[in-house]
Amino acid sequence: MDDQKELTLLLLETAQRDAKAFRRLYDLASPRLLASALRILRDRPLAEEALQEVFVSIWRNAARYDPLAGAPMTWMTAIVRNRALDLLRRRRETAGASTEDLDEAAIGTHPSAEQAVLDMQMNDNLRKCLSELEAAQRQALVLAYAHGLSHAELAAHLARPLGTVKSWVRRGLAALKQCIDSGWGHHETASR
Amino acid sequence: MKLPRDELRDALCAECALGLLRGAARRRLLKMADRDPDLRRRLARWEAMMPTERARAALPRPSERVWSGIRRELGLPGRLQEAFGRIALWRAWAVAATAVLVFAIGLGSLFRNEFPLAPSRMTVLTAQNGEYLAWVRVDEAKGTLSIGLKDPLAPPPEKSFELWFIPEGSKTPLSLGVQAALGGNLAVREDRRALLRGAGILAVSLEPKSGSPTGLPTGQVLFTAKLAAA
Repeated sequence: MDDQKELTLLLLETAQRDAKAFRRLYDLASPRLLASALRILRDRPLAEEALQEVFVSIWRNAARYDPLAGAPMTWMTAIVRNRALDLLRRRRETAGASTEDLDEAAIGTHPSAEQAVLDMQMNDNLRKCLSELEAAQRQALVLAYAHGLSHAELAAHLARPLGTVKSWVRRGLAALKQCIDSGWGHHETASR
Repeated sequence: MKLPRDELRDALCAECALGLLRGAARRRLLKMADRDPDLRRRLARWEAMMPTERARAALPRPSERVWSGIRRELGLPGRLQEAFGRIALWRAWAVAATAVLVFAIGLGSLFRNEFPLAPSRMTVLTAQNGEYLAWVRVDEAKGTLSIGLKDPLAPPPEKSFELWFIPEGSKTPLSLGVQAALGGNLAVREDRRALLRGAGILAVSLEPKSGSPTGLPTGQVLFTAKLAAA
């Protein structure tokens, strides 16, 4: 059985309160999900806190996973990322530090944010379309996704006005969509 | 910048998938998507496009305390308790059920809006030998069952498939409806739709063409699925 199908079955069995399936799901998926959380939080204890909360909620909400709407890893990754983004925001608020300081320190440890995203698993069509974006647009999208930067943090990091950065993001996403829609591959089946 | 409605909806979904919608803004969008299939589809599409971590040897392993924290919070049995067998398991389940209930009352559905996908329930239909056949989506609001078979399963000549539900705590199968070929959507008999909210077992039996003449399964039960309560 391939990985994708096994994860789908495990999620469906978890929805039926099958504790063994849930444990297996955890064993299979937690390293990749922890890596997702770490990418944003860059703090092991905090990333593990996010992971724990997410698995508790996966147990409770597994019945809401719909195999027709997307792959299991996609579904779980979105949940982990959203949780990590919330924790990141909370930490920045309580730290009281200016976001610029935090970001420079954090991103400084990642010499190439673009490389980080290019190392991830993505379909070939997306990879091709990303490479065709204007550099500034690509950089904004990649930083937002890889490191969880907000619009304001992007503006600070890239030393550009907020409005400029917002429009890079929006135009970048629109160009990406256009490129992918006209692409050769069907995004849901290509190279997962 | 004024955007046409479709483009605005798409841009919002894209920014959500990218991680640019924070806190309340994201939860608002996910809540809207719960009731709006078009929005749900757009968001799912963007999320499906986003990269995920590659399975690789160098991935971090979570420390032991993550799993023990999950287990404690959910009241799941540990490996030791598993060894005590069923009785211990059921006791742990009672604790788990209580814990979940207490939590549900205490915190409401903290995470509910973090789950943007269809608010229906899924289960797995398996053959009597445990072999996986298909997933089943139960939409209790619409009163339908959808069986995810790419090609419907044809019965032998002069036979049909009949779907049954055995509510938890009962031994009597109640007919939900008949399918000439197993697969796709089944509109459940109106008087049985309320059943779909509860826990129980779905079963599929082979019956005469127009369904069981007795109101109970007369043929072989081919497939079953467990369904947790809504």
